[in-house]
Amino acid sequence: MTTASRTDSGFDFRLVVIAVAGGALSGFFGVGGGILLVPMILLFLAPARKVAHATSLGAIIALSFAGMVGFAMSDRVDWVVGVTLGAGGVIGGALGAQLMDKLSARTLRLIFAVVLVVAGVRMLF
Amino acid sequence: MGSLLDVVLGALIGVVAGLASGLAGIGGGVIMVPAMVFVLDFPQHLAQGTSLLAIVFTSAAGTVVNRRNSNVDVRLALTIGAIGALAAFAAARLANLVDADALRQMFGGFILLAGVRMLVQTLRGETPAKE
Repeated sequence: MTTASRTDSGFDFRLVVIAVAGGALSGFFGVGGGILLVPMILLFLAPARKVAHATSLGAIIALSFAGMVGFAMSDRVDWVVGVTLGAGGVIGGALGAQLMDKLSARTLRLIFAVVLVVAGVRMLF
Repeated sequence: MGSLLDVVLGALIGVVAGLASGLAGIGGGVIMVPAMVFVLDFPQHLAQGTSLLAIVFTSAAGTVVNRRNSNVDVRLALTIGAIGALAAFAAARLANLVDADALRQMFGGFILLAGVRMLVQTLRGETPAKE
């Protein structure tokens, strides 16, 4: 826990703002919310990149679960596909960790960035 | 509920999304939701709800590994998780009131911004550190 950003009275208001913003993004769009949480944690709460990433991912367990319940209440969760997606994601994540040194992260990021832009435009219009 | 083809395609989408987050540092959700919409022909809301279920598993698995490497600030993660979960639940209920076309368009705007930001960062050489 960082103490530098905390006042003696104990509570860091920025923490609440960050948590609410991350949670709202996650629940509204059905994503983890790391895209917002990681830079905000990095900037205000934990300056080490690895810690910011890992702490964000830990919080995302709770965010994604709560958001999932919110969608399930309207019967908008496909349980079978969700579990296989999750299993694939765990395998892909482990594979990614193995391949990390063999592939160029820069090239991959460029490819995925273009994929996002194209998908975004198609969904918008 | 999903057909066999959906399940197989779902697993493949999961692997790609997992690779994307493991290798390129981008979250799985921004890949999985559009993939479900375009490949599985899921309605926007179903894609988002299903994405969240998948993320419960991937974030839990990732956190097991991160805990072993003691990179997790547990108190901070629990605090953000607890407060954020309330916001996530409320936002999810709100999203379920939004018309599917409008939600898809908002989501499109969101990933378009995310993609442009990622392009700019990567071209500038600001690739985030890998875990």
